[in-house]
Amino acid sequence: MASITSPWGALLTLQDELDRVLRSPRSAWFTGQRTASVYPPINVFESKTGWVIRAELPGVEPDAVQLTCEGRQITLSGERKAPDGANGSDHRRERPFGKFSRSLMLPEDLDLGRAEARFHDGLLTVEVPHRPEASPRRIPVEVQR
Amino acid sequence: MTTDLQVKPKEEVQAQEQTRPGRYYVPDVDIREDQDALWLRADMPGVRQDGVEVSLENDVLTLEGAVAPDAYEGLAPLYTEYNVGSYVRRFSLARGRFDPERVEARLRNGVLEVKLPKAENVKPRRIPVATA
Repeated sequence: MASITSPWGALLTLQDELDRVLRSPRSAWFTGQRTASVYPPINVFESKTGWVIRAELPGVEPDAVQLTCEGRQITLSGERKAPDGANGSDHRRERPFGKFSRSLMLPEDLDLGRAEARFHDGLLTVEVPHRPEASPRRIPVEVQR
Repeated sequence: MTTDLQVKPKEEVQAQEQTRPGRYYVPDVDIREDQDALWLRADMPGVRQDGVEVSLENDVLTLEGAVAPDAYEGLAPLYTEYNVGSYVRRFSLARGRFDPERVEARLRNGVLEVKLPKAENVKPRRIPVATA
């Protein structure tokens, strides 16, 4: 049995949490409609510094993914191309191919201008930091006498 | 001509016979056969080189990929559409059709590609027709 301190314990906790959020009615608040059927499926996480958007895009070449920002909207698009296979015959075809495009509207307090993206192992990760002013600050109170 | 991609929800593996804790999902797999080999491609996003295992034992090919849990450290889910976990899939192969010593596998952009070269005796070959 994995203990809570092992990396696998952390994964088990994450899986349960993902399940809980998946089932929650809040799933629709994000874009105001059910978008779970739009490719690619995404997960949005909160980190210490901002939001982390993650999409699974196996088999997509890193240069075939485009990220564009406009105002508060971020769009990820691209194409998952089928490998060339002139020779031979198919026994099983389960993997989908084609074009995709998906837009998300992010909250005001995120700074898309400083967003960073990386693509490793078929996993796209976009990190969008909070605007500096969104971090807690002390408001001086003037005392009038 | 390209089509728009459709979302296919992940399917969780039901049988509990895995080597690692946590959830296992069924990866989408394409299988293609050419003259010399059988090619399998399995979608395993988030799996790194050190998390993948391919074995051929008793004519059963097992493809297994473990996600790296450290990629999720310090992240709290806000909005989710898919769960993460490891992948496993097994295929029974015809006895003696493939050469277990020559199986090749590579992982690229989250896709595991396995090449199973056909045993020499099952490769198609041309039979010369003698003329009288």
